[in-house]
Amino acid sequence: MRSVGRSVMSVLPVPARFLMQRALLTPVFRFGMFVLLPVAVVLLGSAVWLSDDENRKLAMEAVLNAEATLNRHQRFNVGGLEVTSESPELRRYVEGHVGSFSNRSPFEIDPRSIKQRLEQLPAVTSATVNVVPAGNVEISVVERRPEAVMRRSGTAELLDRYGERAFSGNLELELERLPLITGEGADSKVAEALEIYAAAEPIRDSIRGLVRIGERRWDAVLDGNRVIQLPESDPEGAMKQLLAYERRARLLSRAIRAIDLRVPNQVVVRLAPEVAAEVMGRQPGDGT
Amino acid sequence: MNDRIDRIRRMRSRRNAAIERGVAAVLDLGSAKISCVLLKFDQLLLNGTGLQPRLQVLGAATIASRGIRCGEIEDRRDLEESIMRVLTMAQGKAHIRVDHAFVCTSGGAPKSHRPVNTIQVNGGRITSDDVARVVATAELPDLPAHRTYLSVQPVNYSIDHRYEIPDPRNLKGNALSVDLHAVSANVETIDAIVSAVERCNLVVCGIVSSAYASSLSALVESEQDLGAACVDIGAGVTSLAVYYRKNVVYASTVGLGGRFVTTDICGALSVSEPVAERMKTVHGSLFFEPRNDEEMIAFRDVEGRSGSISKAHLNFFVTPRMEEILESVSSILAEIDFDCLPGQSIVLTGGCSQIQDLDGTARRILGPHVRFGVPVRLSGLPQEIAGPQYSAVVGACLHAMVPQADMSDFRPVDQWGGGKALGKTLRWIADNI
Repeated sequence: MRSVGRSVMSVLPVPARFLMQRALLTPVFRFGMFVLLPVAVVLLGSAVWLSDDENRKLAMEAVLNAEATLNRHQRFNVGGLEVTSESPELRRYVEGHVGSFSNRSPFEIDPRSIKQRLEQLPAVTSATVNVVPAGNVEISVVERRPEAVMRRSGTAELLDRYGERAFSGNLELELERLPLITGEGADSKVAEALEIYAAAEPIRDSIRGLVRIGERRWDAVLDGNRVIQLPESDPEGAMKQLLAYERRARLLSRAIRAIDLRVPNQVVVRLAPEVAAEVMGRQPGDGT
Repeated sequence: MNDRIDRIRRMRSRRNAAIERGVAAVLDLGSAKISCVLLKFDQLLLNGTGLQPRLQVLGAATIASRGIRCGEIEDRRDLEESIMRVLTMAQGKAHIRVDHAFVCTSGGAPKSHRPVNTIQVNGGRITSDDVARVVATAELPDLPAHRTYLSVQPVNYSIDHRYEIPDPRNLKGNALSVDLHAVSANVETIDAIVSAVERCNLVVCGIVSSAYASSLSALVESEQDLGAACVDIGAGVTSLAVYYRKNVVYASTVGLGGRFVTTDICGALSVSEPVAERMKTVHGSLFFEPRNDEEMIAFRDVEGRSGSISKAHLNFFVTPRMEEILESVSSILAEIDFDCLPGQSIVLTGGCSQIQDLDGTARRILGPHVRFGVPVRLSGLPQEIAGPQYSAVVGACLHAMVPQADMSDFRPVDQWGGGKALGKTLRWIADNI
C-alpha cells in the first residue's frame, strides 16, 4: 500500500507532491481523510441502499437465515441439566420441574423464563440459570428456609421469615420443630412472632402457639389452655417483663386462666374458676 | 526608534513563534547543494542550572541545488522547486510538518560594519538598564538603498579606558561604550530568498550569513576566544568570518569557489560538468610529484571521444584556482589586520576544502596555523551530513537554537520617564498600538 502511494507520489510534479505531503502530515486533514471520510461514505452508502424497501427485506432475510443456520448447528447443542442446591430433595424436585434439555439448541432455551418459573416455587428464594452452548444448562437455586408453621382450618403450611410459603418437605417432622402460629393475618407477621418466641425462650416448652387476634395483636397460648394476652406494641418487651416477674413470683405455676399484659405497666391475672371461687369466699384482707 | 533593524526584529518575533511550535526547518541555500535539517526544540532540565535549550534533529536531506549561482538567485522557479523537493524528503523522513524556516545563504555580498556608541553613566555602578541603553541608542551607519542589515551584535564593551569587557554590569565608570558588529547584505538577494521560501508555505524566522554559520560550527571554543578565521570554501562562494572574544568581528565573502575549478576543467578538456566534477574530486590534487606525469586519467568528452590526461596536467587546472581563492582570502585577512589578533589559526572548511593536498598550499599562502574543520555533531544528524561541506547548515542549526544577542533584543528602559508602572504601561501601549 505504502509503496503504491510512493509510486503515485513520484509521478506527480514537485509542487503537487509537496502540497500533498504537507496535507497528509497535517493531523486534522489525516483525521478527516482516514476516519471521518470512510465512516461517512459507509454510512451514506448503507443508508442509500437501505432506503429501498426491497433491499431492506433482503437484508432482513439474510439476517434471519444466518440466525436459523446458527440455531440448526449441532455443535452448540446443550448436553444436559446440572442443578446445584443445598438439599438433594430440592435438587431432585427442580430437575423434575424444569424437565430435560438434552440435545436441544441453546438458542431455543430461554433462561429468563426458567428462572422466573423456578422463583415462583415455594421452596426457592432465588435461582440463577446459565445456558452454556455445547455444555450444560447450569441451574443453581437458593433454598427457602421454613421458620414457622401456620395452621389454618384443617391444614398447616410452612412459612419462611417473610411469610412466604416455604418448601413442604416433611410436614410432620417440621411440625414438631418449628413454632406454631395461627389466626387471621398471622402469616404477614411471621418475623414478629419469631421475635416473641425468641423472647419467651425460657418457657418455650410450655408455649403451644401464638394466635393473631383481630389482625392486630398476639395471644400466646400455653399448655392447659392458659393465655398470655400481649399488647399491640412491643409484645416481646412485655413478654420479657412477664418472664422477669415470673422468676420472682412463680406466676405461671399457679392456677391461673389468663395473664393480661395489654395495658402497659400493668399485669391483670385471671384466676382459674375454682380458685377464684375460693378466693372470693375468703375474707377480704387475707391476701394471696 | 531604529527602523533599520526592523527586519531583524520581525524575524526575532517569528523565531519565538517557531520555538513555541517546537519544530523548524533549517535551509542552507548553497550554490552546489541545498540542505535541509528539521529541528525539534526542546528544553532539557538540568539539576541546579535550570532549563537548558536542547535541539534534536528529526530529519535531514540534501539535494543538488538549481537556480542558485554563486550564492545569488538565478531562477526563482527552479529554486522553489528545489526547496520543495528537499523539504518533501526531509518531512518524509521526519513524518512531521514544518511551517518555520531558518535560512542560511552565502549570497548578498555580506559586509561588516563596526559602529561604536558611548554614553555617560556618571561614575555610578553600571546596571542592565545602562547596557540596554548603550546598545539600543547606537547609531547605525547609513546604508545605500540596496543594502539592509542582517544582524547587529554587541561585541564588547569598554568603560573609560578599560577595553574588551564582556559583561560591564556591576562595574563603575564614567563613560560606557559598546562596539557593535553589523552585517549588511543586498536587499534584493534577501527579499528574493524570503519570497522563494515563503512561496513554499514556510515562514522565514531568520536569515544567517554562511560565513557566520560555518564559523559557529567549525571553530572550537579556544579559537573563538583567542581569535581565528573560518574560511568556508563552497562551490560558488568562499565565505570568511573572523572570531575574537567569542564574537564574530568580521564577515565577508569572496565570489570564488570549487565550481570554478570544475568549469576550468570543462573548458580545457571539453568534457561535461559531471565528468569534470568527478575528475576534480577523485584525481584533482595540489601536490606535485614526478610520478604524476606517468599516471594517466581516461575520460570521455562531450562528443563521445575518449581521451586521457596525465594527473600532473590535471593539477595545472586545479592549482591556480585554489591558489587564487586562498590568496584573495589572504589579502582580505591582511586588509583587516588579522595578524594583530592573539590567535592566528585559520580553519578551512566547506566542500572544496576536501580537495586533495590542499594543506601544503594553504600553509604556504595563509600561514602556518591552518587546520581543516568539520562541524560539531548534532544529536540525530545522519552520518552522511557530517562532512565539512555541511558546516554552514549545522552552524545555522546552532544559531537557530541559541542566537547571539542582537541589537533588536535591547531596548532602553524607562525611556518614557515617570514611575516604573507608568513607564511600563506607556511602553506596552507604544509597542502594541
